[in-house]
Amino acid sequence: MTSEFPWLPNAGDYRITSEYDANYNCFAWALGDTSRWIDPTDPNTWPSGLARENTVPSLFELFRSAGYAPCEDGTLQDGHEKVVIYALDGEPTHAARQLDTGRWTSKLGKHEDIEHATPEELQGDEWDQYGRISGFLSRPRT
Amino acid sequence: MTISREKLSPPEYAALNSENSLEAEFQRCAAAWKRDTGHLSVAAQIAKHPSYRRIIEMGKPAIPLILNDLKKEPNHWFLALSAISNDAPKVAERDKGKMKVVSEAWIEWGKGKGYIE
Repeated sequence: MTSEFPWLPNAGDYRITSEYDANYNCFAWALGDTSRWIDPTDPNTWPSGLARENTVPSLFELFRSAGYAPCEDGTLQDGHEKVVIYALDGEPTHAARQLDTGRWTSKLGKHEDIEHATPEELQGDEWDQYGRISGFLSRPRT
Repeated sequence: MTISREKLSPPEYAALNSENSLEAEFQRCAAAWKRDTGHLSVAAQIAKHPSYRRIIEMGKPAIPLILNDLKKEPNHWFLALSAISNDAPKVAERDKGKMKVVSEAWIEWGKGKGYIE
């Protein structure tokens, strides 16, 4: 299966799971929020209580504030919900959340949500891609 | 309203041509930027697109064009508006990230500054 998204040339085993919606992005979706956009480079969208830097640690702080803690990898663990952070040249670009099936869900900017088999298949090194996996976080599944 | 070009003085004609040409370039750049960056979530990455940078280079004449585009659909014009104007409307904490509300705040800002009606 070839990706219909040119910026995701390695996405093979995925399916579209929502309509286009410009009201939320990947970071909000990873936190389960479909009402807002969250972006460390835009003061109009970043929570005031958190340091706002275009860095991976800044993104980690966002997820820590929602009860996540860094973890080793994206292996499915009973009772745990995991997220993966992507970065390009050290700047965060994307996040995905693990479903209880072990598959992952991603909101593609303003575009649709997709469900995909692995975090690795969204990686890409061009300026308009998501870069590489930068780390995983986990919290107890509620 | 259609303006009869025969009735314009040479400076007026030149100004109209210049405005039309700026708007046409803005529309081309905006379309390319939207087409190529809709899948991105971070404004700093979205703003790396050459067409977005070109719009910022247009300076203040681009502000009414951006605000009119925002009226049609919320979009990530906030970085460009801030970069050009060196200003920003205040957005309440509870409304942060709500694209329609932030867009509306910028539109009201533009009305207040006389960029749009």
